[in-house]
Amino acid sequence: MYHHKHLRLLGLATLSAVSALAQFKVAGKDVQVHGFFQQGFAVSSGNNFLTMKTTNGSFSMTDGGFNVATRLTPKLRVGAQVFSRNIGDIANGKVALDWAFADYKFNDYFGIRAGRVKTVLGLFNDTQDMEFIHTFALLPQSMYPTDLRASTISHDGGDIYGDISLKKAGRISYVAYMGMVPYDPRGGYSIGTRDSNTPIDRFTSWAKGGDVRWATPLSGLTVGYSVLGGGGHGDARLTALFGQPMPGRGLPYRFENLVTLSHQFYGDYQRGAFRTFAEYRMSDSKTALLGIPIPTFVTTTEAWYVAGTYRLHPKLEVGSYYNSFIYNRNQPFSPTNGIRGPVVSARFDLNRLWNVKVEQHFMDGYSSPLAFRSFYPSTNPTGFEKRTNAFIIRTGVTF
Amino acid sequence: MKKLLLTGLLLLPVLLANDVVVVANPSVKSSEVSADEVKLVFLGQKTALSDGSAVEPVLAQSGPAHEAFLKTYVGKTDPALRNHFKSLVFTGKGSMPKSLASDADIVAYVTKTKGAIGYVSAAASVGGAKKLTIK
Repeated sequence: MYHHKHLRLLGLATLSAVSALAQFKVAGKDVQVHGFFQQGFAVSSGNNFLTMKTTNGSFSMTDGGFNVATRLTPKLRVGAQVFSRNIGDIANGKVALDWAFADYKFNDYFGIRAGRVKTVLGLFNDTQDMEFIHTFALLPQSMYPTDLRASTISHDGGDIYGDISLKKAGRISYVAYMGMVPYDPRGGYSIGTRDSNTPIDRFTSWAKGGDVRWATPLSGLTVGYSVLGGGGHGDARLTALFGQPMPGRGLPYRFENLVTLSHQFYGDYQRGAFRTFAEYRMSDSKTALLGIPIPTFVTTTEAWYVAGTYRLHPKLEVGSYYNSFIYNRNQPFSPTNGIRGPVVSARFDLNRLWNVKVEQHFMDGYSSPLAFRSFYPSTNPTGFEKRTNAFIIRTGVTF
Repeated sequence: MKKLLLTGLLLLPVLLANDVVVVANPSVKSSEVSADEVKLVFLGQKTALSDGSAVEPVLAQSGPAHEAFLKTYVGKTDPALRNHFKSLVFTGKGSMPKSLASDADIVAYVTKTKGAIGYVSAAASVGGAKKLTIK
């Protein structure tokens, strides 16, 4: 199994390397092929992080993808990307369709995309896999949890989008979307529900939302707001009760995510080599368990971070952020109600295609086991420590 | 001394702008474009000028004209601009622009490619390409 998943990732990396030479014409149209490959190493004190056995040091942090795209007419673009990753117990190297869509841009003000489209949510949701464009080895986990990527990364449906010039008042960009959200049976929710004896067998969900960002007249300053609403239903099983395993495969039940609603606010300021950005998100979710006498399950989470980066040299950029996640925002922070702490990072650009990053995370708390993020019972079977310090080295190449 | 320094700082964008000229394929109708249009074209956010001409940006790989152009018109460093285009390419929302090694290469490509728009140092010969005035 281990060899298979690494062979798949290696195959993807080789395909990416070969495709570096593959920019060609088909029927007179330029076809571009691009790829990336990333490998990380993480070691931690305290808890095992992101389902990796980081307290022993783990190289189980590999991902890659490649894409093909072309412009069929001046207004019509088509393309597709496949993506594979292996982060601890997450994803297991499965190659999946990341995005595939047709994009017709009528004019600057209005365009449409249809197919599997990356979801715009805040500054980085749609680029969260692309370690190579960010200063940090891991984006703030409070906002962009690596293990829960699939819940927001894309939708099968359509977008409308455009840019509107406000002349001296700047520029507004917008996107609005609707579609079904692909469920990842190897993601954090799947692992977390399995660890809490309620494994999910099937989950169907939908999302609709939008993003509006204003490039202000102050050069380099962008502010914006995203909203994401959704819901869904699925089948799950109760496999143990009060520590006792249930007979057979467990007690089946249905659940319905009645509503999930997230509001996200952000600002980004770049001037020369300096950049600072921050985001805030609050989310409400209401889930009913059907067939089990348990009241409707309500969560109200809050996440934020503040980050700054500075390019000291063409080959060296440094950065830091402080991030905070609170599982129940109606309660104060505690180790069982959130994860927070600072991160410091340095990025070395060996050349335009290859970078190496070193990063230190100082994490306080491990949150509720029902938050399904960062720290899981199955990889921390002896219980959780209050603090986790994690050191990460990550390298990435792009073509 | 302070006045001299202040004057120098105020004149810096003008001096940088004078180091670089924007060139386009003769198929581009306009002879002048706004600085805002130049920025949006070279960020991949605009694929046609206000006169309706479809355009395709061409970048220089490095050099003083490249640095001056990014500082004056785009407002991003070279690594930030490359990362910007990578974010478009790997989300499917744009293409990686051509990146050429010298002024002569850019002029040759722009001259022969319909809708191509690039930039070269002010001292370079623009051959059959069309110089665009920035409004």
